[in-house]
Amino acid sequence: MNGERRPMIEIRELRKIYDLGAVKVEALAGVNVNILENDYVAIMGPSGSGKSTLMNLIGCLDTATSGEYFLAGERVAGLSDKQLAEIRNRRIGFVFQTFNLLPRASALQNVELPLVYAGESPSERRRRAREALEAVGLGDRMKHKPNEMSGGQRQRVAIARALVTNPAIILADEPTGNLDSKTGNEIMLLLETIYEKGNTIILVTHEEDIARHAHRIVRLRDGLIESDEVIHRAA
Amino acid sequence: MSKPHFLLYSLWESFRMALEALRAHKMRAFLTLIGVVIGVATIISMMTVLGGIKYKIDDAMLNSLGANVFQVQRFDQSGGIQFGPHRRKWRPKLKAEYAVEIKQRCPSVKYVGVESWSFGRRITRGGLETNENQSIAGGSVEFAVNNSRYIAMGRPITEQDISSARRVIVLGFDVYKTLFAGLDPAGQFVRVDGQKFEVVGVFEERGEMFGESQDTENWIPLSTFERIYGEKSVNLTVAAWDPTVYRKAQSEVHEAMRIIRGLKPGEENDFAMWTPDIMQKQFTEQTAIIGIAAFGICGISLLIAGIGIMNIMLVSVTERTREIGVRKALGGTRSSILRQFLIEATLLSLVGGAIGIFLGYGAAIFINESFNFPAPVPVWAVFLAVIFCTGVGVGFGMWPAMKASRLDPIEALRYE
Repeated sequence: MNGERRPMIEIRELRKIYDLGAVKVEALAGVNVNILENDYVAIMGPSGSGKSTLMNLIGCLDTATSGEYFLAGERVAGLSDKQLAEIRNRRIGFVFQTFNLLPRASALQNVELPLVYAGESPSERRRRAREALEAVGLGDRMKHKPNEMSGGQRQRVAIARALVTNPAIILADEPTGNLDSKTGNEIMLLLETIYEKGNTIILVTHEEDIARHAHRIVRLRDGLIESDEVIHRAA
Repeated sequence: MSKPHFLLYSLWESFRMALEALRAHKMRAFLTLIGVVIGVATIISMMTVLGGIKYKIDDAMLNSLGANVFQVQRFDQSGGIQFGPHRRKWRPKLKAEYAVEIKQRCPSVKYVGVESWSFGRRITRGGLETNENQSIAGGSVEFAVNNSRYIAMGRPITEQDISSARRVIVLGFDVYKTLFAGLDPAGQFVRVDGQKFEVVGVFEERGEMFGESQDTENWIPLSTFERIYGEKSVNLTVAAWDPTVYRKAQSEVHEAMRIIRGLKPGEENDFAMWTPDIMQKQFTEQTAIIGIAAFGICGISLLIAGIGIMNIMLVSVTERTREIGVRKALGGTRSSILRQFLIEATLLSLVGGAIGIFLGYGAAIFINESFNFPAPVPVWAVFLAVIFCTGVGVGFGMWPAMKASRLDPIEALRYE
């Protein structure tokens, strides 16, 4: 399945400096990394290593101080707030540690939300949200509110929400951090099937076991890439 | 936007989400709304009642004098509420003879009636007596038609009654009710200030206005009146030939009166001309003041309400910081977040406005029923209330909404 894979993410000398007034903190000190289409990468590193900053930059939630970032060939640096919002909407699916579902909305409404911002019609939204929920095995939980579901189910809703706009990249930030290990494994299996369908998956975690699900591990330390290894998993 | 109905979907979605947010905090929303409710209810009920008063006054004024009739009297009439000191200079009496002279000098005048008044009288019959609010009018034969009074029973005062100064009386409906209670009063006798009068007729009932009876006027011949009460200053009720010469008749009479009174050019009138529309104008001015006061109350409550809305929206933005972060991560733009919170604030204000319109309408109906005003709630007041509420929602929701839209998505997502 290798062959002619195009680069999905190209990062050149990416720097991020937080100006805290008295001190300047260099969270990223010149990172270079390429992530190909249909890659499955885990970004690891201790706290303060800059992995969250890198994830925010990849997710277009933040802009770099300097350096270049191309997402599917598009230069992200210097885009407006509105353009970044559109990229987040169409190209990136977020999966958070704390699920971040809207508490008062049903599973279906939560999954529809990205499509609202994409400007889809209500009927189209409903159709696609249903499909996404069925794909994560929650076809029978559509009307449930988050507080009526288990942690694993909530994370599945969040994954359905991340998938519903058909984004190229799924960005999962500690997706199993709030789950027990059995449920966590189920979620990782779900991510694996998504990967197999052709998505690019970027996983941010500090757990070795979880990172082992990926096919490549990028380790950060002090704002720089410490190692970048491809994992050859036993079949 | 590339999609055709993007704005529509997005507005509808914002509306739906705002509705849900309000539903989640019903009590809080309700408390916030009280200010809007009071403001809107005030303006709706006041405008309705003022409309009712105006209608009633217009109606009363139209019926207070006969068609094409105006009045010349000694002093300016003060109607309704008076503001400031009321100065009143001495003026010579108006005399009954003026009527003849006015008729001669003014071609637009059809006839001139004369009436002289004594107020606060009591009328008795045997052991029965009325209250002390009865008015006795000594009038010429034109009295009834010039005051748009109709004779319900019997006959009016005639020329013969006047020329021979007969002791005859046409009773107001109140006196008839109190003293005769359904009996035929014709040929019966009543006493006014010790004087015995034969009842020849009864005026038609007019009913009440602002809780005051309009049926306290009793009519006797002018000649008889002057024998009993002396020669008082009279009122002249002047009828023009038709509406086209009504204004002309007024200026003719004005000129004639100045000549009769021997006034030099530039000298101030020592008589007053009174037309129904003068009274109407006075009332309109006074109701306008009440209207402005109502707008003031409304404005203050809406200001307080607006601050309340701003406060609750700030709380809401803080509470939903994470939600805002999620929305941004999923593709929500600044403008979509701004719109969502603005719609929420406006909806909050409009719900208050709707309750206010409802309550104000209820209050207006209640007042209208109690005082018998036939006034509907003015559509423009409802319209204005809706515009005001929208303005308050947008105006006071703007800052919280901007605060929400400018949140940094990363910090918002991290917010506990």
